[in-house]
Amino acid sequence: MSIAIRELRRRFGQFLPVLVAMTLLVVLLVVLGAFLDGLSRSQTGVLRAQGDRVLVLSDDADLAPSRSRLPDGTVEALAQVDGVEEVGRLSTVATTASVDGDVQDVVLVGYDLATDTLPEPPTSGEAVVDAKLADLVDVEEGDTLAVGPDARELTVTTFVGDVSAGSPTIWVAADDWLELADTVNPTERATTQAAVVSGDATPDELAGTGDGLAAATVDDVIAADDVVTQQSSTFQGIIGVTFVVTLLVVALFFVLLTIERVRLYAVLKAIGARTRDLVAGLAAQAVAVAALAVVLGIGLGIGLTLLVPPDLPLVIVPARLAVLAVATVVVAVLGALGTLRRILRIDPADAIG
Amino acid sequence: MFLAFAELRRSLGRFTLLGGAVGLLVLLLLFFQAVAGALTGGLTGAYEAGDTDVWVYDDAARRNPQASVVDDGVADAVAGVDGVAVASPVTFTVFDVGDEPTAVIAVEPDSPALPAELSSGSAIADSGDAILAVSGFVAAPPTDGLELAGVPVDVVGEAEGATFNVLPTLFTTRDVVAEATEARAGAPVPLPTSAIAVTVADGVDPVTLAADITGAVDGVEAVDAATAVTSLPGAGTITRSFSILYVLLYLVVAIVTAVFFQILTVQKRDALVLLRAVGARRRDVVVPVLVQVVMVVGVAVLVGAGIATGLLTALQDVFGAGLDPTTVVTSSVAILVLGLLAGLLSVRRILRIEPVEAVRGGGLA
Repeated sequence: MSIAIRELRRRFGQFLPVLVAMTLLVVLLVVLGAFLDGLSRSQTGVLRAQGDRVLVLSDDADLAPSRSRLPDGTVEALAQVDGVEEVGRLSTVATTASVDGDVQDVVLVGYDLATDTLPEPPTSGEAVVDAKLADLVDVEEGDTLAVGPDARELTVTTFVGDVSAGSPTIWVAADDWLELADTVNPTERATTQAAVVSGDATPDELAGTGDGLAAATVDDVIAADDVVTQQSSTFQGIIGVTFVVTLLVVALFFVLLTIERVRLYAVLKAIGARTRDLVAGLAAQAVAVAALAVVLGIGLGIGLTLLVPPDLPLVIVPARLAVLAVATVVVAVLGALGTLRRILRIDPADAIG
Repeated sequence: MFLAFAELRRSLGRFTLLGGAVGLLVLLLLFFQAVAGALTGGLTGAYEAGDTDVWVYDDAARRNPQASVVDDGVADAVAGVDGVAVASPVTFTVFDVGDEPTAVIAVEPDSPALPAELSSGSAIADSGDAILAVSGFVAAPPTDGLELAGVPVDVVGEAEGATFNVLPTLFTTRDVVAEATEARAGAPVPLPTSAIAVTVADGVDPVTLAADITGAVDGVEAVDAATAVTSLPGAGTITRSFSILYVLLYLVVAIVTAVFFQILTVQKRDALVLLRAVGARRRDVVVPVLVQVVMVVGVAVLVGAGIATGLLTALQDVFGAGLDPTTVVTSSVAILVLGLLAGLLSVRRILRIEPVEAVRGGGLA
């Protein structure tokens, strides 16, 4: 083992090519992971901001809040269910907002209940704003946004993070939303889309409150979103293939390295080294190279994600980086062990010709 | 040349490993391109299928048709600008058809916003006629007895790929959509105009005309069709996001290929010195390397493209993405060229070999 590490230090140049290739593959994995998390989080922020509450929707919406239209009186009926602590309305509509002439696509959200993420709903004429909007345009607390085709003015009271819904969100009180949504989409009378319920009542109990209702946890509503699940499975598949490429690249490099060292290994075996020692040395080199590639790749990957324009959905999640790092090292060891058969075949007698 | 093939045969394992890695990278690249193409096509197909030269929006809509509402009379004002041949109002909205949300594009019967070519059926002739657009990503709703908020619509033609916002898309007449909008709202609601589709008179440049319209008509922003497509929400983001991944994949292909042939050249150095010493010309030792690059990368590209085609065909219902032959050829050639460029590093090292090294010091090690 110590010979392997000493060789790595002394002949670092020999390992440089595979280090560069692996570093680039780690950058690719970091960027793919950032897209996977960014796409998912940037579309589900409104739902995740509701925490562990239950959403009640119209059952013809297939758990898609934007397609749900709650019958009148639903919120009041839900408040009467045993175990319900709080009931609030939640609705969204896509529109645009202008700040000093700089126009952005936004999603206007109407809500009643504060959460761990969201403050109490603002008063009429005010809005809580997604921090993502501040990344895209020059807007600060106290500034005025012109929202929708009528350029309705809303004053920014505060910013909250991680609440995007494809576009940055602007949060207003549910009553204000009903009024604003009518101007945003004149072809349809604005209706409350979902109710958000806290307490001990189960989704089944809540859905039974009235005809045509469905209820589900936030996680279940997110899981029912075909776009999010399809994107996730696509990117996870791509990440899997990238790991296979990494495995092949490492295996290729260590095969070449082993071919070069056949004589040396024969000598080592002749003076008593066990096959296990040789394999452990190779594995140690693979771990060392992979660990360095992981550090460099994650650093470069994070740097790259900081350089891209803020409207691209890239989010670095530490847990994802940890999984990628461990998986890369494991794959590198597996790749290096691809030479095991070749090492087993080495005959100590080869050392003397 | 003979040496190149002989080495490929004898060291098939390591060349297969390189080919496997490059092939998988080609597969990833083509897969990305197909998915990106399908995603952007699903978003922008309706725009690309029509004959519109210039789109006119509300100037606060950020070129987003769903956020744009232009005032009554804008269509007439636009029609009055020199160089405009046709100015036709268009409304973009969404209705539930059956259980599925469907993009509805309300047009006049001869609007340039209608798909120029139909995959089946006939063009809109009467009030209530409709053209249905679907694409691989977007499933078609049942067309029998199709209604918008209870108002019957007769699908007379289909236009493959002319979808909007990754939804099944219905192009139908404005009077029907106005009636359906009122039925849905349960009250008299005027049908707003989202945008004006414009065709230019002969010899007029769409970009110039767009600037003229923006200057001449208050409260609007006009853009040429190509700009309108790239400005649609999501289209630019998808293109730029996938571009980052393409660049990374091309880099990985180049580096993996360069690393492999570099190591191979170092390992063969003694043999190459000997070959040069017994009279082989530089060309004789360089050409086999380039032949090997072309063989290994070429086969990898073929296999990768083959698997990508098969995979995307098998998963057509999931991804709805197909491979554009032009994209396959362009990407394959690009990877082959990158492979050759990467191989040039080895060639440079080979060219530095001096035959006299064979008799220096201890000769060949």
